[in-house]
Amino acid sequence: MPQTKILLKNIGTPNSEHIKGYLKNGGYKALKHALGELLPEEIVELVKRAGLRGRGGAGFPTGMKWQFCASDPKKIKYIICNADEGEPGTFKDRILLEQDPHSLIEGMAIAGYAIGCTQGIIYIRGEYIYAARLLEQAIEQARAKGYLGDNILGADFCFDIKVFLGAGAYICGEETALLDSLEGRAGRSRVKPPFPVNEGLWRRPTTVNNVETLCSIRHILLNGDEWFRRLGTSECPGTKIFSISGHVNKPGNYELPMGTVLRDLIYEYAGGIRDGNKFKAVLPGGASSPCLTAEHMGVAFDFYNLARAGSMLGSGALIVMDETTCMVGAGLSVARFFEHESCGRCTPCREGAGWIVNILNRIYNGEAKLAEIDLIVELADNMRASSFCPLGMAAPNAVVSFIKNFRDDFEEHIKYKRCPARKDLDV
Amino acid sequence: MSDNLVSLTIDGIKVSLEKGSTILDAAQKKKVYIPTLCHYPELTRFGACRLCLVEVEGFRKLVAACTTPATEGMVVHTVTPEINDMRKTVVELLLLHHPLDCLTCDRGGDCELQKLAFTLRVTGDRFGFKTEEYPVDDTNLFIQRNFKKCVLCGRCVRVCDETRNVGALGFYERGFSTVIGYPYNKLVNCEYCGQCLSVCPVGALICKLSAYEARPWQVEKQRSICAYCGCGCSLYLEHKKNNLVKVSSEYGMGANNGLLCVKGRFGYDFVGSEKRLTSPLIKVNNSFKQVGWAQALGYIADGFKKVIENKGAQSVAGAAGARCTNEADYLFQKFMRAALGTNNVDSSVRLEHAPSISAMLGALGVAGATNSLAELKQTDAILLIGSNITASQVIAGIYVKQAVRQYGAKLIVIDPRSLEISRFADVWLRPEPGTDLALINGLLHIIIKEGLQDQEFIDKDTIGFADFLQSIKEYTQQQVEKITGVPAGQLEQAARLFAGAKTGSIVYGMGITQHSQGTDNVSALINLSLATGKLGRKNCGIYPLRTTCNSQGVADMGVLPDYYPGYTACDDMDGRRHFARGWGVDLPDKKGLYLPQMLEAAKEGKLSAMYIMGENLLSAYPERKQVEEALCALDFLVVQDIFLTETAKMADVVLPAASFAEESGTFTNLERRVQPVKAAISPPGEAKPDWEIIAGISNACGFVMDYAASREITEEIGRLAPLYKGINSEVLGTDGVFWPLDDNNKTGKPYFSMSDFYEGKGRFTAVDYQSEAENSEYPFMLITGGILFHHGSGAMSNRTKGLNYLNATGYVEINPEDADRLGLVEGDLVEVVSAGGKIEVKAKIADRYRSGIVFVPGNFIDLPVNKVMQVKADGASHMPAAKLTPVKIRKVT
Repeated sequence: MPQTKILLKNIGTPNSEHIKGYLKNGGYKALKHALGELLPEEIVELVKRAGLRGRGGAGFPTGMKWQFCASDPKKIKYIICNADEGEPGTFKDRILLEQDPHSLIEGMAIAGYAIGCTQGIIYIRGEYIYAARLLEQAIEQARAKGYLGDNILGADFCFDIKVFLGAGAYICGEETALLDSLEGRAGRSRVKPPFPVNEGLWRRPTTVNNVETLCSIRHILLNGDEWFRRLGTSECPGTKIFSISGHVNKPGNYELPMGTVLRDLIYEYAGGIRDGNKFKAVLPGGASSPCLTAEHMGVAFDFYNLARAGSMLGSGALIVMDETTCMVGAGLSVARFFEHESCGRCTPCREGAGWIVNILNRIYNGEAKLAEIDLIVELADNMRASSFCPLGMAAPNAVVSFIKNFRDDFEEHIKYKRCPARKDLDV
Repeated sequence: MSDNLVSLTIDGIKVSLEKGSTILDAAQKKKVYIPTLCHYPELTRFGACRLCLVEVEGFRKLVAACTTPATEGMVVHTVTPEINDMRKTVVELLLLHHPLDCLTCDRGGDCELQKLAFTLRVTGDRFGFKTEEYPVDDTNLFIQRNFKKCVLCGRCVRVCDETRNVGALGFYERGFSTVIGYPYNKLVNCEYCGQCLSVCPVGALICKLSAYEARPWQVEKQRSICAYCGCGCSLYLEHKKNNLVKVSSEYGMGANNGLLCVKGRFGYDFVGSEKRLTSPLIKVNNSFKQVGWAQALGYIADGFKKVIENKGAQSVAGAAGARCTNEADYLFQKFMRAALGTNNVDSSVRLEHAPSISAMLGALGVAGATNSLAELKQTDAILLIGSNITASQVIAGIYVKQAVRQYGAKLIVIDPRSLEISRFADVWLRPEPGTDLALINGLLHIIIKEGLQDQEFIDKDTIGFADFLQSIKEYTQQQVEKITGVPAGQLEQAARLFAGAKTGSIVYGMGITQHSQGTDNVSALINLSLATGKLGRKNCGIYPLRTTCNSQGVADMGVLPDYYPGYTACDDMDGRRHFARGWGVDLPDKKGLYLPQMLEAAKEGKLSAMYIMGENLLSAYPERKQVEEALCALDFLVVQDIFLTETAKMADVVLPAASFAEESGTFTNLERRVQPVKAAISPPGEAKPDWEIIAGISNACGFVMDYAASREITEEIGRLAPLYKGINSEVLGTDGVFWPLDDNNKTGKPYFSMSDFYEGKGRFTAVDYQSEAENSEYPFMLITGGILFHHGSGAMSNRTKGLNYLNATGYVEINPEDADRLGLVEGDLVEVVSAGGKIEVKAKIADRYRSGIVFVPGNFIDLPVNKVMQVKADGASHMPAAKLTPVKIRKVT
């Protein structure tokens, strides 16, 4: 079955990263349409009707966010593109940034028009330096052609974009920490409320949208909300780029309608499990999500159905694990990631993330007591319920799901000092 | 129900409170206990410790009470099994780092984590292992930081940044390794205020000065007032077995809102110094002999009597310092006037703010700040002139900084020096030293020229505008630029900023008053207030920054040769009669000698005896030689103080007095707030409170003063002194009152309305700048002043261990360019020479001053800069002005 390429349609076409290639592919038509024929509030309505949800992970309805921001009476506002793609297993934004940057620029300009702001900022992770340079060139090209700058396309609308490089913190992908980082401070989440749509960057109303979300905008404008709703599921319309990695034969980005089931994702598109091994588990939404197992092969991948299955879609990053995976080791590597990335502000996340690593380490080495397996679960419950921001709430998800689904792996490490999945492992 | 209120239910209790409040505010209002660690009043909502999680019906998740706004109809539960479990885990996680050495921890028994662990019955055993050791940080001289005990609540970081606006602390590293530290691990801008200590919930921050002195339950706390500058900060004197072990404060208390500076918090141990005077001393054959009180008092009475019999009452005089209580000051002048029969009584106010008194009485009829310190925070524009406010009146300085950074005020700083406050300024004018008057007149000229004055206010509420208009005609931008060196553009900017603001206040220090035109300077500032209509209402006022704890009070009490208590003029017959009746004696009708006149008279042999209380005149007076010669010429000198100061060494009788921690009474701070001072401990040896000593002398002289306690004197003041009418110990409460009270206002007036001024008007005073001739032989201009770590002439602060750690000796600050020219490097010994004298001092190279200006702090007993200073009297106020002295600098080889 072929993919449903809408966002990825330009990828691979000649000069796709250059405005020449982009224009050849029908670029900036949506912006022309917006400025020429639509009122800002009509665009907000259109996006709302289309049912577009944020593709960064939280799945908040984009149109609603725009409306909150647009209706705030303060004059200066900002639209920020969150290109701090940091969720382990996610690499979908990168391909858009590197090969179709104008699609993002066009989306941001339309968003700026709809919200009523003149300044856009792309917050891009420091490691994406190549993409950042490309973006800057693309912005320059757009300016030269009058798609950015003063009185764009002759309309009474001025808009420009700056690129800001992050300095290497996962937490800066959280929108309020991103704002702190933009303001020159260490990235740490802010108290909410106030929400960024009312008091964001420099305490001005600010909309923060993911790259994939903003790239979808021009398609909605050109093809209409009904077209968009026909894609995907009724609750979550549209397509989604799934980043599939791990023990599959063909890892990569796959753009498919929302609601594609796990079996198709792995066996139809990603070429099945490597070496003919058996599937063991998948983290469906990056390192923050609880795992799914073989019994979930029929789960449709969208925000709602994955939530019903006890997990989350997140940014759509599938990390696939086969039968040779030691779940204690996998848990440890996820836990180490969160220990390293916790900002240190709130007690449960700062201390909890550290102690989980501590306990897991000892389980891995067979030094822990059996009761400590449950201690992790208890600690995790507390972290999820009491952490300050989504990082701490999500940090123990994967580890706890590993314990729940593969408890034997953990117990054998302790009881017999061996790993059932990896016979070669000498604990 | 009002639109501004929301009501909600917490644990079944209905609460309604202001919109924008949090669930925690609501709970605290109804005394529903929700545990917190990172929360602290007035600091930004942080929500980090997660102890205050509560359940709100209809919410998906638990929320932090300290950050979640209370909304209409909310139903909140603060205790559920889930919440309890969560809180236990949080405390448990914190205890994993925290060494359980409560037995030897300085905060044991006074620790919020300990309380939480106790309440929730948590030990941290569940995880069964501990973190690695981490060395304590001893970088700070006063504060030890124990990282393992730190709960990372961030209170210290936030109080340093948001309240003090210093920002010496921050979070470093991240996640599990997060610690609190200094930028680049260096104490870059710590001001040693110790505010971080006062907010730390656990033993992570320990005061090194008081550590292990006492367990929290062993100390008694006495609330009182700080004895240093004029801000009048409320503090707790913590004492154990008659020893002062610590000074602390509490959020929200007093004029200082619980804030203290380095001097107030760490400068208390002079009280327990071994060098305190402990018994009366009489000089016999040039050495002091310890005697009993009866003998000393008799000796003094005889001494005064002999002089008066021989040379008349006008041959005795009294001078008081500004550190004594109102009660002592009141008795002092009553003794001089009623018992000895002379108006020759003056105070060290003559050396600091006499020009403010004379200018303000003349223009407004009141002498004192017109508004309260707290109002500074709400003021739209502040004009600060002639004050290193963040060093000498730290708390007032904090309010100015908060006004700018937290409340968005505009700040105009006028000072030739580069000060800490300068970087908060919107406009910073740097006039040539001594040209302030021309500059202020220049601002007024611009305001009138551009029509920015408040004409309605001027017409209705002021007198003398026409004459004043004439007087500023000459002060065009070009002219003023020529005199002051301030570019015309900057002048215009400042004038527009101040005149255009809705509310504005003028704050000034001794850079204005200690000049030969000091009174004119103050008058010009009052003119500026009047012309812009920034007087006589809330958030619009003028603030003379008083330098000592009772500078305001000592003048209010009439320790002035020309005024009885409450600024009743000596030549006002009704006023004199009022006090004569009150004291039961006839009173002299001629005004007495001002302090400089006393010294002259002594040298000329017209004055033969002096009684000096609480002032080391030899150090404090700007011309040391004057005092030396005068005191040597006296027949009889009585000095009453807490140390054997240089002045006391010249006395015939020395009387040991109580310090602020050992004496009760009242101080009046720079915002006219009369505040109760309460003795915490008893004085050392035979030392006695000042008022008791004065009463003793008076009784020995045959004029009966019969007071059982200082509060009886407070009551007498409240009966007799017009401004203090109705003030007594009950009315004062704990926070004090702003004078004056009236019948329906028992807390006094934080700000004056126009009707509070003389005849309800403000008077313009035409004042003209007079330039001074330059002196090529002495090419440098010497400025003296105070520094953050010491106070006044150093009598108290030089005798504290802590403050001397920070800065024990004086120096001369020289601009790098001048230093290069003179071939000086840091630490070189130089000679500062004026026409009057010279001192040797080490050079400090710094660019706070422009080339041609040098600075020597006046705070060090060991560095008598007043040997160099030269007095030029301010005509109107008899102020011996010496802010500026022309000097030359020589390297000592």
